[in-house]
Amino acid sequence: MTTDGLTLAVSGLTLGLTRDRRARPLVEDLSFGVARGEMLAFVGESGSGKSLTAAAIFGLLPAGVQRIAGSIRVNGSELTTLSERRLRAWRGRDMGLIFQNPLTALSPSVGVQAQIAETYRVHKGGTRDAARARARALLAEVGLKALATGGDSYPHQLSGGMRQRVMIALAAACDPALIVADEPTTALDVLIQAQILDLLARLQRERGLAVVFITHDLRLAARYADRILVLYAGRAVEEGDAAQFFTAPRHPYSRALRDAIPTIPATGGRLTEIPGQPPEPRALPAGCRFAPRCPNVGDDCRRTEPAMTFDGTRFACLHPCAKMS
Amino acid sequence: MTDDTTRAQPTMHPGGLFQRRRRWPATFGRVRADMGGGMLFLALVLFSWIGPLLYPHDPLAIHTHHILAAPRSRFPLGTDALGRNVLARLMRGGQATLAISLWASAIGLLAGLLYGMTAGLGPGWLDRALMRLLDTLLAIPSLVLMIFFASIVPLNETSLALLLGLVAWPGIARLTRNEALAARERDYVRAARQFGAGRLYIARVHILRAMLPLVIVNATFLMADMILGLSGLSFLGLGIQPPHASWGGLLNSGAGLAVIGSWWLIAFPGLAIFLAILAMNMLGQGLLARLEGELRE
Amino acid sequence: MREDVVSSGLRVEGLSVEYAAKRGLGRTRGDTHKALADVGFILPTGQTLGVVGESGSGKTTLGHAVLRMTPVSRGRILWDGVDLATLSDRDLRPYRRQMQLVFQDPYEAMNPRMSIGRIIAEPLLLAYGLDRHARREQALRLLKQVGLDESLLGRRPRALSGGQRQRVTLARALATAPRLLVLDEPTSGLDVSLQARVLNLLRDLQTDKGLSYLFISHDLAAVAYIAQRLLVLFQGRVMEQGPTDALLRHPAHPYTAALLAAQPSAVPGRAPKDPAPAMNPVADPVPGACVYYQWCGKALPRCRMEAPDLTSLGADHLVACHYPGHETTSIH
Ligand SMILES: Nc1ncnc2c1ncn2[C@@H]1O[C@H](COP(=O)(O)OP(=O)(O)OP(=O)(O)O)[C@@H](O)[C@H]1O
Ligand SMILES: Nc1ncnc2c1ncn2[C@@H]1O[C@H](COP(=O)(O)OP(=O)(O)OP(=O)(O)O)[C@@H](O)[C@H]1O
Ligand code: SF4
Ligand SMILES: [Mg+2]
Ligand SMILES: [Mg+2]
Repeated sequence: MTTDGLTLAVSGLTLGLTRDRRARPLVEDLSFGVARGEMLAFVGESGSGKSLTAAAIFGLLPAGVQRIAGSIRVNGSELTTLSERRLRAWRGRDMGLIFQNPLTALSPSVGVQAQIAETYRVHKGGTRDAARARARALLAEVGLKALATGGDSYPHQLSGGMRQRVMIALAAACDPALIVADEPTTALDVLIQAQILDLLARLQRERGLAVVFITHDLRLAARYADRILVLYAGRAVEEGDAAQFFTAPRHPYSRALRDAIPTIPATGGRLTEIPGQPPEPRALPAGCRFAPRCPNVGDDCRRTEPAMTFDGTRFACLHPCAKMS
Repeated sequence: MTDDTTRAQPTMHPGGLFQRRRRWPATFGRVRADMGGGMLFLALVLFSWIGPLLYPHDPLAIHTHHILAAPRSRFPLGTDALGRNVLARLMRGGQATLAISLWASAIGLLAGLLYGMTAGLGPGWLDRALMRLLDTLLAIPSLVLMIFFASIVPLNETSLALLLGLVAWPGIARLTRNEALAARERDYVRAARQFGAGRLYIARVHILRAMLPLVIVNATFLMADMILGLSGLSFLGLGIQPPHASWGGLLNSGAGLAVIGSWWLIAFPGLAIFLAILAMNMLGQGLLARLEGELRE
Repeated sequence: MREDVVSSGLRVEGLSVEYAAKRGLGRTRGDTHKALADVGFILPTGQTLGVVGESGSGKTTLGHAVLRMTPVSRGRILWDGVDLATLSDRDLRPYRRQMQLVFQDPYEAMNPRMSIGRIIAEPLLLAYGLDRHARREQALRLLKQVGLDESLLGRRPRALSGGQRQRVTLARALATAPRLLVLDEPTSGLDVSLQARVLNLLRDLQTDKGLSYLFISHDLAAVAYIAQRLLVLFQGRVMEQGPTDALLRHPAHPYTAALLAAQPSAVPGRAPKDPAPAMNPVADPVPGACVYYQWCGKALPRCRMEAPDLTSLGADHLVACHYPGHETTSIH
């Protein structure tokens, strides 16, 4: 993988607990890249490290977690060596973050037009009027024409779907190169979910944004993303083209994630569960992390941690599933 | 649209009596405010009850040769206009002041809890009636109320505690009622109802317990208010009647003489009142900070 | 009449729930908001009825109303032939334990100060007055039933994962050996692997115990997995009702079709060509028109003049649309 021309290039990212230095890392040796106009989906169970990775890109790791190793480059510039002040300038201007719960990111006491305008002015300068006009245009662009005209509205007056659109407008306000959306629709119903993701996909195409889309639903990943990266217990286990991925996943975990989802029309049989639970970061098994739950497991899996190999997709498995399943 | 914005949150800042209170820092240096306050209060209690055992002097004895004696070895805190031992009176007065305030807070707390729970958990009409009544009571200034009752009952420790308790309960009642109203719409309370829980069970197991920390915090603030209130009554001549001592009474009777130089008559009772109120405020503020920290987690 | 045929089970007729309207611009005091209007369905013993609809369509309200947890304005709730809607709180008590609710938000549904053991044992205490020892024994049995470990007994809800919480509330609901469970979005907060586990568990429980489920969700795939019949709600009104298979294969109502189209189906790269229907909140419904008129991609002039009744579309299949399943060219 060359990092030239990539909007986001992460390599060797390792995140661990600040206090407990002997514990295994929460995210280990993660490398990926996203090009201009491309959407990469992060998929994995709860606790697999998706949100931590997103936070690390923005330099917003929670207290108690730190970056141990790895580089993060946006448009070729290394972010990990930047001071907090320089990094703050990057955030919002060159990259935007969208959370699952927009209320945590929006100020409750400031109107949404004003919030977007302020963000724009802080990063791009210009007059108040110009910033306000820009905010209105953005709101209209994300389908909130009613909020773009007339008086300003406060976040609590909006529905969950409208708030998430405001978040997208806010994230896109300064023409960033990169947007990271961390489970942006988990709190919303299917209709609103489809709208929000359609909107994100449209911005990605029309503005040539690089997008990292975090979800645990492989269907959504396959429908919207160009490439998918599957995380398990803090490690990438498979990465590949979205279309190919859904029909023929190679890693047994990817396949298990796919088969756990009920289909329409229902097949009538039982859903395939993934037995057991993901390991606690403190008690990772030796060898392959997925071995205790894996249907393909062999003795060698419990001894050696498989490295990434390339065969159609990149995957880390000693006994991969057949190419066409 | 989404109900998360409209769902009732437990109120952290009760209305009425307590809303005006300024916030104190929760820590002073490395000592936690609640620990410091508790220790200070304990010191005052020891002074009032154990003190007389170590310094056995009659607070009512009159030493005619030592009128208005300044503090020195025989009378460490001096004597008053009748030649009574100020230290002994301060200890005895501490017993009266602290005991009355404690009882008054307990009465106010209990009455308030009962009233508030009844309003909060009862049927809607009862709630409306009780709250209307409360508003009417609150419309009468508490001072007027106290003067009225103080003028028709004999003033001793019991009646004073009841009297102060009488003005103390509305704040707690309103707080309790609001908390109960919010709590009874919580899903876990509705679940209990679906399992067949009655009002009493819900009040006891789910609501009272959830409210207890907040109520305890407010009870400490209430205690500070009671100490101040009792002292205020003494100033109007409605407190503990002479010759018996209370901190407020000592302060009141010493006020006139302090201007002609007997500073010890007001300095020591004033300090005692100040320390007691400080102790309760530190305790309350510290507990509140602890509670908020717990809720945030 | 088929009344005797389904006298065992749940039968709801003309159920309406009105809330006091949120006061806003142009609304006066005393206005009511119809959260449910004239909803009816049959849920035979041992079966599952799926209730689907977008956020705010009235799904939770329906579940609560059936259990009389929210005041019912009109309608009948027939449980084994007894109309629960008319019973007093006291007369309702024996029925309460036969019908239980698994709340939409499992964390909110547990007292954060209680241990998991106490939470699960609460209904045992309230409904049967069991002593401490018997309660513990039963709590263990219930935990095992939902596939949880007894080490959880001493923990607080805060220390549990989302999937564990969901199963604890399920275990608690099972404590009174109910015959009907109202499941309010039991999997929407879970990741796919936990969702699979909970759905399988629910199906096993149903087969074992002959439970009836009112299964509320906006995820059609989850509903399709577990429900024999579907009820589609929009703004508190029934849009379509019928056998799951028929509904999903040939959605007759445009709203059902819209829900289906928005369903995340794993067809890579399909999104841009097939955008979701616009469901922007429109202020108030047009009086006299079909409630779905402003959103409908198939509306014709008649839809604006006249609200469609719920009409039969073959065996057990009801739909409230003038042009069910038709390809029309919208006037919008
Ligand atoms: N502040 C923290 N301190 C210690 N450990 C943490 C912290 N935040 C997260 N973790 C741990 O890091 C791991 C990864 O967490 P992360 O939030 O990235 O998961 P996720 O994939 O986003 O899951 P979800 O789907 O639930 O959002 C988990 O095991 C979690 O317990
Ligand atoms: N206690 C209440 N008072 C007033 N209005 C209410 C109340 N509860 C619900 N509503 C309103 O009734 C309508 C239906 O709400 P309900 O919660 O039943 O929807 P839902 O389909 O369960 O939505 P979701 O998928 O978001 O849970 C909404 O418009 C809601 O705002
Ligand atoms: S009746 Fe008309 S407006 Fe209503 S759903 Fe059918 S086609 Fe659409
Ligand atoms: Mg996350
Ligand atoms: Mg709901």
